[in-house]
Amino acid sequence: MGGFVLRKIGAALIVLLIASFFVFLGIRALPGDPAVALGGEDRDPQVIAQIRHDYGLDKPLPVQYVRWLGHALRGDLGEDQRSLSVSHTIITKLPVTLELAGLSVLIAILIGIPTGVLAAVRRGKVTDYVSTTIGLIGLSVPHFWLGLMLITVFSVNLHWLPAGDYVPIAHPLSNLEHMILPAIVLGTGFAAVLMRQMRSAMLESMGSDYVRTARAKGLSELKVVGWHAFRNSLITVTTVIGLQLGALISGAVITEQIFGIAGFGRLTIESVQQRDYTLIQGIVLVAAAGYVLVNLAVDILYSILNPRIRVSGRPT
Amino acid sequence: MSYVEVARLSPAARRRRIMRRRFFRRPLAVIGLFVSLTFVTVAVFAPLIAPYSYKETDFNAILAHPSREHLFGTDALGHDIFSQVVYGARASMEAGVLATLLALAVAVPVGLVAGYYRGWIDPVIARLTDALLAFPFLILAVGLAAILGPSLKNAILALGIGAVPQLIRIARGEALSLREEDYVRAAIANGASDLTILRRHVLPNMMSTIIVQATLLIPILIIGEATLSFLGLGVQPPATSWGVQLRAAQDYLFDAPRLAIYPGVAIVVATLAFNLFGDGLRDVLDPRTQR
Repeated sequence: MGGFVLRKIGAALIVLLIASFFVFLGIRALPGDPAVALGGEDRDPQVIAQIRHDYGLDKPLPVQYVRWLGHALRGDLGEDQRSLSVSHTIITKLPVTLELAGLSVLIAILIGIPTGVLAAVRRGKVTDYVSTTIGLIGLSVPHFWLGLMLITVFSVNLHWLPAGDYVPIAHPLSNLEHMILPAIVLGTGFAAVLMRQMRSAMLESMGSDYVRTARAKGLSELKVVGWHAFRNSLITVTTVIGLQLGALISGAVITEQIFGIAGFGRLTIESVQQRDYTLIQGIVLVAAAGYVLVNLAVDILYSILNPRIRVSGRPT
Repeated sequence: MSYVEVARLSPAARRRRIMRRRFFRRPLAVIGLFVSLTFVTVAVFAPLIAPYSYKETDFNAILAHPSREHLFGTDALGHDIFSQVVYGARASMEAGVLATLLALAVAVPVGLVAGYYRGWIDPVIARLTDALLAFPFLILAVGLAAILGPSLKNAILALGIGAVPQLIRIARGEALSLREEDYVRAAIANGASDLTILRRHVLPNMMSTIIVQATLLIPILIIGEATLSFLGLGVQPPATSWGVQLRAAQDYLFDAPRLAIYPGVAIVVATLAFNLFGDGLRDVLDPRTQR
């Protein structure tokens, strides 16, 4: 068990290191001289040379990378075009996105898990077809279009909910009012994914030996499905939530853009539109690190939940 | 008569026939195939189907309601929406199909090499893939599109590259398990060259999985193109795509919500069709998910 966790942490660190290298190279591969960009209006070769020296741009690439990584590890991601600290900008925007993501995951779990179980239990029946088809539709609706439609119906026509902007969580009710539509937009696609995974995990565990044993012992159907099959399917689905984090971040980018929520996602688009490469670099690095760390946590959680890994120390 | 015919079929042909029958027994999958093909046809023959050019503006009909002249009405610049939606299918199908082919062309050979040869190359490719997978798809695509500059061609490149790591992982997994099959071992024992084994035994046997994955990737990339274009990082006006149309429709949600409805419904129906088709294919071709 301990060895398993250590191996997982080691692998995650290696992945993060490679990812950081990609980020570094990606930005360096861009056309144009960063020193010239930093110099702005000032085209004086001497000034440019000074900037190049100050930022270490005259050093060989490996040296630059180590320096950049060292700063990043200490939480210093450099300064953006407006000379603001990139780390600070990201940290102030993150909580908004985390709230949106948390609400969406909640909605996804509330919709996806029960319908997935229901579809599996009623396999081959009308309920199954209806929920799998709705699930497939859920996968086929782009976030941004669903957002536009919800705004049209609930904000523009019915005036029930605001169409955008963000109200700090200090005003919980108003905050929720502003977050509910974006959370629905982001949550429904995820619910569809969860539903499909839950359905197949349930089908698999309901065909397994321990469920047959439970039935043979004469346990009620509710106990068999609710206790044995459901609990084991949840373990499988835990990993899906981790793997879907990337999709969730991608979804947040577009959802925040539509609803005008000033979070991490909107920051991404803004940084791209302004071609603010230091900012883009920081954002991509933070997103990748978040993905790797969450999946590490899920892996460890999975090994704790799943006795087969706990004992043998390797995934089955 | 039919018995004789069946007996004359080669085993592979008979297998194909069984698969085809199984597929056509799934009404949703068949509908998916039919609708997908319809969208591809519309995309190919857009100039023949659309009553107007996507660039043609009618200043006497700005934001006009649906009528006999303009089936879906017109937008704020007097474009015929029906024609725009028809032409929009082009960008979507191009992006969906070409980006998928691009991703396949890169991912399958890399995954094959990693899974088949193992050794030092496999962990290297696996770690690189893991690292690439750490970048959320859209952030990767947005970043690449920003670097390459906004256009349909670059959006396709960005989406294709963005889809590569996931496909490498699948191809690698397949090659890894196929390598252990008896017929591959037998071929190795017979002294067949690696290239022959890969071409004759490994690749054909992973094709069904790859085809299923590719079919399910198309709808993801169709949405991807629409998203990039919606953000202004894909197709640029006056060229059109469903994403471009939705971007323009954003400002008229109150006055003319239909501007947002038609292209949106087109995206949903096209994506759903490919998803239904892909799901059906998976049920038929992929024995692990057989229900």
